[in-house]
Amino acid sequence: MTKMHDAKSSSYGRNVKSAVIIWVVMVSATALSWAIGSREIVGNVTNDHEVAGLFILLVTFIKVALIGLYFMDIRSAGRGLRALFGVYCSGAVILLMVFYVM
Amino acid sequence: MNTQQLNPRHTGSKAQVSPRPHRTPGDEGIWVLIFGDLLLFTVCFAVYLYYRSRDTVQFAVSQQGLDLSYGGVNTFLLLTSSVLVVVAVSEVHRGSLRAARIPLVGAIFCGLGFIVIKSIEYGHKVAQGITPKTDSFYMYYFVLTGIHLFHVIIGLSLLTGMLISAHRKRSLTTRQERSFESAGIFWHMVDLLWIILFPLLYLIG
Repeated sequence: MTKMHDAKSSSYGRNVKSAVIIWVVMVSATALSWAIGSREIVGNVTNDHEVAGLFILLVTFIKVALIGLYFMDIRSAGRGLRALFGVYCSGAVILLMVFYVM
Repeated sequence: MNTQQLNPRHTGSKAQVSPRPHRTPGDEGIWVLIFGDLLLFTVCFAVYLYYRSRDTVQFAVSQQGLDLSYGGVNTFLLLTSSVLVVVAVSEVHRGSLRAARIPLVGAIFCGLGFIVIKSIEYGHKVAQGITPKTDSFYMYYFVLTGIHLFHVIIGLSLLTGMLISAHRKRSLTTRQERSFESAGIFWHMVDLLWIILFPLLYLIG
């Protein structure tokens, strides 16, 4: 019983550690998007502003995937839920990228 | 056994315990709500980008009126609150309701901070005479952030419910534990939606 409890505590301890690492990654990714986005707005419409916008959208949906997998704990869910979330993330990013460059 | 279950592939005469047992986090119903909400918001985002593509210059000019600091700080607050909710839910899974209280209080303060900053931002805009009627960009800005703010308020109510449970009860049943986890998942969705809204409205030009 104690061993089971220890194993469970250890597993949730790892979840918290992963979540903190993901938080650092996402704050850094937000700072990167902010830096790119603010330069684009200040510099206004440059030739490569669409590339910058697409890059920011891509980074955004990487963050979305990380929130789902690590914060919502979808990575420990069954295949169905993981597949559904994967389809949502990839479908949404493609849809928004297409509408962005239209 | 709690909320964990064995991998069905490993059942039968040569039954083995799966090294990575699968489980659905929270109640199954919460996922219907989450995916329904995500789809609705994604359609709204696509509609926003469609109208933006028809009047790129006007949208870019209006976008320059937004203060990136407000959006950036709010992103930081929601990300931090999400991590605190992960810690709180982990403590509940470990059976330590008392230890879940502090991260929950922290998450609630982050959520309240988000509301305060959003209110200040709205106040500045209205003081400048900018309302949803100003132009298409601001119509989308107020509607999308307003609907998201409504979700933040619902999420904060759920976090407060979690805190009350953690304060009043000594232990949770499996069903209560799942409800606790579901409330946390809803809060993560609030964070996730803002993660998309911030670049759409503030960053991409």
